[in-house]
Amino acid sequence: MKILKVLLIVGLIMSDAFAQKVEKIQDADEILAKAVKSFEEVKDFSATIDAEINMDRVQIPKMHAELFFKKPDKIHFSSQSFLLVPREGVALNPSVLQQHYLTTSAMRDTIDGKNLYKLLLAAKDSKTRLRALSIWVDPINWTITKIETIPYEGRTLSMIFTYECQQEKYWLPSKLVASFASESDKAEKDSSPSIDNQFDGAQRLAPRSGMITIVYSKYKINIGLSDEIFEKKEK
Amino acid sequence: MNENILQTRQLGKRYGKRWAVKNLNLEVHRGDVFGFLGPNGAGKSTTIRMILSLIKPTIGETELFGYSLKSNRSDALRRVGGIVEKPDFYLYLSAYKNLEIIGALSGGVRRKKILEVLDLVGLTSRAADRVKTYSHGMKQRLGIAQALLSDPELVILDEPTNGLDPQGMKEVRGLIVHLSREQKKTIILSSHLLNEIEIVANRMVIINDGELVVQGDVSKLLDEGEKYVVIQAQPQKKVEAVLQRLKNIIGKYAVKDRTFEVWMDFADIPELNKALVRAGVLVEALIPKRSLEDLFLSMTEHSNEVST
Amino acid sequence: MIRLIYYELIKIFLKKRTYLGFGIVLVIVPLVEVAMKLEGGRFLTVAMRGLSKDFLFFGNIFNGWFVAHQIMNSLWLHIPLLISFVAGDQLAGEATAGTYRLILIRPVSRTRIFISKYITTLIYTVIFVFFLAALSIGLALALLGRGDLIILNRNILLLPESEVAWRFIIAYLLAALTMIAIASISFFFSSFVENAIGPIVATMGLLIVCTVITVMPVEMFEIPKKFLFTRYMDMWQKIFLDPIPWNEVKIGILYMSAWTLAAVLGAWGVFVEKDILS
Repeated sequence: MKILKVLLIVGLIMSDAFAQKVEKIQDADEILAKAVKSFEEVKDFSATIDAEINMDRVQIPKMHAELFFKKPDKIHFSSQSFLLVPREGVALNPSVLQQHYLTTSAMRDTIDGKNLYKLLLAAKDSKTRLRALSIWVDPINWTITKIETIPYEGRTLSMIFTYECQQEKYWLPSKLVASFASESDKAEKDSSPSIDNQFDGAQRLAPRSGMITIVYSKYKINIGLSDEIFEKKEK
Repeated sequence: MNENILQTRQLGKRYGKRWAVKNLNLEVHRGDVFGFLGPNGAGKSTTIRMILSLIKPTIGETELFGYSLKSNRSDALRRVGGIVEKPDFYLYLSAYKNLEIIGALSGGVRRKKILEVLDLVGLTSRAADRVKTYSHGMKQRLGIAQALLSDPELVILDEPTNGLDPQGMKEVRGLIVHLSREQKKTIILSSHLLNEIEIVANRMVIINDGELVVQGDVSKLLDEGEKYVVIQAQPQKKVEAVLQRLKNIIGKYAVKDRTFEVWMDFADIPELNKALVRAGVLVEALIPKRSLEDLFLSMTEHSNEVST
Repeated sequence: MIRLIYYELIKIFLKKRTYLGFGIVLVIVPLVEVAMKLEGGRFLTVAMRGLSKDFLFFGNIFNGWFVAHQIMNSLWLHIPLLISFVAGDQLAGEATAGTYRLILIRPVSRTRIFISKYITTLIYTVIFVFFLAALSIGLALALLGRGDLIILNRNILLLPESEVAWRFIIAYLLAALTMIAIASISFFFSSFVENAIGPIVATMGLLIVCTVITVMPVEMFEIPKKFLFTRYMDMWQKIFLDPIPWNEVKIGILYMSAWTLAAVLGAWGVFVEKDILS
């Protein structure tokens, strides 16, 4: 009983402290600005990534590559073998979000026991691929820990970021889990591959549910990456 | 005593209900030029194919050089060369290459031997040419060359003059005589042309409807045949008068159309001729008829009568 | 025997029809590969469209291995025709040309002649299959470079380059076995007809009938189709799966070998007993 009382008191004190902190930053733009600020000092970085895809009807062995990032949104991968990465989120720069989206609302949310801010973002330009985003910001270090969006009709994408402090001052992701879910997962379950349906089969291959996990390591931050590195575009 | 190098015993081949060859007993002696006669379709080629193991007999067996073809095929055929019906080759290859390939099937032959047989048949200058450029006569000669390639003791030639012009026939017959006399080969020569056999063979067999009609020495069989002279001459009355007068040398005679068939010894032909000319007869031809062709025709006709 | 095989090889390789298959492959493979290079992998992009909505790709997947695999896929139904073109001519061609009368009167047994002809057919088949392999892979790698191999199927499978070469070798060995079975069937038909077209038509006819039975989802065909060689003709494709279903491959090898053996024994039986009437 005593223990219960102690826990209750501690919980009240902590929620009060959080409430006080949240109370100070009510505005969504302000929260996003905080996220931008937390990434402000990173100009560029390189990191080793190890990726593993776990998706229906997609069999790709573990991938390994060097990731190069330069602000605002230049990305380059160097890999001896084939690499497949999510279109969004591999090197997330909050300032790009700030540039292309309007914040529409902010609310509190709790994920896995963590208290976070959930912001709703809407694209300023109708040509922007992702029209709307939900992002979760951790008020402790102002990193974006989760993004949810509908990349296109019938498809949902959820990205969960885990961060580690690099060189004792830069909060950069150590892991990204991007999960895709589709409404059209029912059709074309069976029929073994044969000579003539090989290629057709691939063409009919609809997006499937699954996830890709990317683990980041060996960060080198603010090393003055040249623009030339980023000239090769993805296929 | 004559050595039998080929012997068939009760050899027979049946296709469905029809016997193409039946109960054929052949004997070929060493050194023979053995004429194998029969009209077209008599079963000559079927017999030769059985002897050369292209066709399996329905009944009976063949022995070559004392070896049974059925139980000891390789040994039986080792000393045999042959040509069956028309000569066919790998047309896209040269004559030399054809002979090299065929030689390999006989255990391999030396280049010298290939050139030797090509020379024998007069094809040395065309040895490197592809066979498809050859005339029929050249192919026929190449056929004989391949039959001689392994230096066989027995050469079986199935209608080797078929389709040849008179000059070609003469050359092939000359070659057969050469092989027999100079190279001491035993030769089986099948033909439906009797005078061909008459020219070159010493022993012969005639078959008809797949069955043996007669077999023996050509000279003996010739003696058994009829001998008469056909006279083509004018005027008819004068000829008859001469024939009446020469009863001492003439047995009997018959008038057929505008010719006379006179049974007499061929040795008396000059005397007959002299008498006719003296009597003022215009002699167009005196033709001695003692050929195998008559024998052949009479026998096959007889055979047909018997069989029908 | 070696001498007989040597001369059979001479006969086969000095014949124009032998080079028809090589010629066709020599035209089609470079044509397709150059066209694919000029297209720049557009069709691969189309095939990957579903995945590219969500992902970015890096690395050369439109590479020589991919193109070589596509060639193997697309040509595979036509290769039996080219194989039977030569294999079907091996015995029937001698009958048509009348050369049986030359070779079968020699003091060498028909069985030895048969074996030399069959081994020659095998040599031709294997040379042809590996010619296709060498040309399609060699040229594709020269034109499009190397990389991981992407297999487009109902699934998308990526095989790391380190595994690709040995998979191709095994796949082509299995393909050679399949073609040996086809060649043997053709050889079988060749043993009892006297024209060279017959075995080709018969082989292709059998191939079509068996393929139809194999792919037809009809219950009464379920048991017989297990025994048809056409069911295992694509067994080489299983080498490009991960993991490789070795049991299925073993069954395929077993059935192909059984068909080969049956065809060869059948052909031998016909050949040694055959009356040469041509």
